[in-house]
Amino acid sequence: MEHEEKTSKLKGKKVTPSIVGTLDHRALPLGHYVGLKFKQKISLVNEGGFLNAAPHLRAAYSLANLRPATLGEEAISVSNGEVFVLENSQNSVAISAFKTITHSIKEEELVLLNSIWIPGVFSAYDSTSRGFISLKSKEIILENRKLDLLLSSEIEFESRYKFNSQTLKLYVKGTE
Amino acid sequence: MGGTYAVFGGNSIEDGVWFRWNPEKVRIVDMLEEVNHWQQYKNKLQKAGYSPEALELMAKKAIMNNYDLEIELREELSDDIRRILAGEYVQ
Repeated sequence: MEHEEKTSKLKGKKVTPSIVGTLDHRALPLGHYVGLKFKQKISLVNEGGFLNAAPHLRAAYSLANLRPATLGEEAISVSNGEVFVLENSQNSVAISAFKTITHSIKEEELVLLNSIWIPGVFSAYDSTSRGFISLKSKEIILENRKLDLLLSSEIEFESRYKFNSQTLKLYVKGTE
Repeated sequence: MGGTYAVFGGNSIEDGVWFRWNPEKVRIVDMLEEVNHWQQYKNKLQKAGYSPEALELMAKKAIMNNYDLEIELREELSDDIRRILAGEYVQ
């Protein structure tokens, strides 16, 4: 999530204009969310609109499924880049760091992907989990914490959305 | 705003709409596109059931049809339209 530095007033109500990347474009319910890292609570007032990205970043923006979001006033104090889950989510979300990554992404494309969280599906053995990967910070977020335990072996990641007409596939490992 | 040139948010004019833009990056062609989106908001096309893809196509085609663009901008908009039709522009 990335937001404006100041709140705006919409029909007398203070809101925080923002851009969010979502795991699934079909399911972004309005309501209350809680931050994974700093545990701050925010409310999603509505989502959608129009986003005009720099031409060279349009493929990366659609891969990250970035969209406009109107957040409550409280979101103004949240750090840009924080990751949120629904407040009453039953998922056991985990954030992990990985050490090694195997991919066939071109160097010039890597530069474009470095600033985003890429939504996708992780899988290893017979376990799968939706989640995000950040190539820059070498972090992954798993919706299903069970998969975190398998990070000592190789976990496959497949992007949920296309990047220049392709599905990204890469492999991450927690230990050397 | 990083790589974002401009962005409209909010549900409808009745509920309130906000607009952010990057003054260092936004170009005339981007503003023309945003003007089109503003007209769409005012005419309640979002509420009328037009898909995000249809609204993007309408805005980009309107610019291509109404302005004498440089070849690079025309190619950029054509590529956007190709990506919209391929389902890669609006997720």
